[in-house]
Amino acid sequence: MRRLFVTSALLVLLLYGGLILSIFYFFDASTLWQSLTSDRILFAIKTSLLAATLATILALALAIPAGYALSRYDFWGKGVVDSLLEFPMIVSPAALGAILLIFFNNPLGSWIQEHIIAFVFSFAGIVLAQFVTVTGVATRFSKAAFDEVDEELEKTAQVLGGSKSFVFASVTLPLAKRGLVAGAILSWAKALGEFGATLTIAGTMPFRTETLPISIYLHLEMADIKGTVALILLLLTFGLGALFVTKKLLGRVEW
Amino acid sequence: MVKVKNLTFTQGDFRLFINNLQIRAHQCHALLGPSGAGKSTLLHLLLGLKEPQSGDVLVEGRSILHLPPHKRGFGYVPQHLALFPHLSVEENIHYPLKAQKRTPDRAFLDELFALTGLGPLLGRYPKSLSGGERQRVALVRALAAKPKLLLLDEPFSALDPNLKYELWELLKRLQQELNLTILLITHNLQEAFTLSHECSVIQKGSIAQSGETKELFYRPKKLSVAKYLGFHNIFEAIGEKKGIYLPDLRQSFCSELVIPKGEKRLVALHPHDIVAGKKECNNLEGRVEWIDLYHYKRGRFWPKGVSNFIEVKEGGEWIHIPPSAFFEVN
Repeated sequence: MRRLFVTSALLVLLLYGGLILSIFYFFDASTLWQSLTSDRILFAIKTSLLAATLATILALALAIPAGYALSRYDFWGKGVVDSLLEFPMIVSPAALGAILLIFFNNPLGSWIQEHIIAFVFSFAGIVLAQFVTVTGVATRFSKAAFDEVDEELEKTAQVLGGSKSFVFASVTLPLAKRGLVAGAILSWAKALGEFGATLTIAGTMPFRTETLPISIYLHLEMADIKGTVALILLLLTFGLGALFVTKKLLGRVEW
Repeated sequence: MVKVKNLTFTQGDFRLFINNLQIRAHQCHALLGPSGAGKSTLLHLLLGLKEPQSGDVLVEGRSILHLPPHKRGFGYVPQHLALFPHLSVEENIHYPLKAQKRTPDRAFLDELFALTGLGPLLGRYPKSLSGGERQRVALVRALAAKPKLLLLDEPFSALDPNLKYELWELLKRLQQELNLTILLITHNLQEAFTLSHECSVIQKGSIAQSGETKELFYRPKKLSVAKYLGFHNIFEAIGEKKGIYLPDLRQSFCSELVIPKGEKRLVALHPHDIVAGKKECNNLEGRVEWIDLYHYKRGRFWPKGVSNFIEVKEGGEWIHIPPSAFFEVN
């Protein structure tokens, strides 16, 4: 039994590890250096990192209280909210982008575009696409993190004199910290790699809405395999680096 | 003094109604009852974690029902202790003071540490503590802010006997030395008897009987309470011109309890009141069967020619039931 399970786990390693290793067939150090020094790619990296960070902060601002509510309270519509958390995963990213685009073409969306902030074909559109994509998963992670905190601890803290906000800050948040940080980093990594929705709503304008995943798509479209590999490695470095740092911070790195 | 008056709470099929419960200042009051009787519900109502439909809870004459849990000024030790795992022992103990923005009373805390021996453990975390140490931390944390009432929710239920006895002793000492007012929720009869001055038995959502602990344990008034307390010696009695007749034992007895002639009542006897040997009346001849229990013996005395036994603490060929031993239950 153990052998079967361990084999399955190693097959997962083989699948992803093999795929990552395979790109080194087209690896070229000079192309990587060129990419790292190209203004256009540096802009795409900067745009990606900034948009993913902003989208994650905004998503967490909503996901932390929402996750707590889903974990602790019974309220009207709770079941629907809980089911909708996976909505961005169920619809394809392109469909999600299309839904956003359609929204900004209806009267309310057009009014927002004109009077508040223009999302279509802009940096705000990238942030919005990533925010919509990761909020569900960030809320799911938050809920799971709060589920792990024993309610008895919160009740005891209240009876011992802590107001609800004091208990949340002094007991709930510190005990949910690991799960919340892990959720934040994974949301950030997901936002960083977001492509479909971003492409649909923000487009592929260099020095304006070009992110790292969009750069990869554009290089591939031009049959620039070496350039594509260089960019994939950059994206992987940021994504896997973030995951490694998270696990290190949480003290859970195991080899 | 804490008073609970006409407190009503209904949830589904369960209804709690506490007509009158008084917890005297500087005393330990035990709330005894079987699982599902309403002990935890009453506790949650007192703590403010549940809202009653009607009634009132008064602490030193003032209603506290409108106050949120953190403003009720209670100390609390839950069943599983709920020590904050991310805080050190010292931080756990200071938590109520920090939450209530109060300056620690150094002398009082030192007294608590001296009484409980927690001083050397202050820098440690709950995970590294033994069961007994964790209990002490939970107790001291609950007392740190000098609560008006300390509520204990079966905190000793998961401990092995020796540790339990040790902590009972500690709680008794803390109660006496610090003049604490305690409500102890328990289903352990021995614990309630050992620790409390007064006791209430809760059954099916209401207080079946309240009173001074020894009086309640030795002379319960209600049949349901007597049965809950483990009374076996409950007999039907018929009033006679002088004394009473117990058909189950086929014998008449002199009794200080007066039952009008010919009337039937239920009477009970506490095994403690029955003595070995023979006196001028109320003697029964028979044999005794001992059941050895750890720390004490329990005997079944089988009177000659009778198929019922009487539970006794002492006995031989003869036992004597003093006339004062009979009391009525209904």
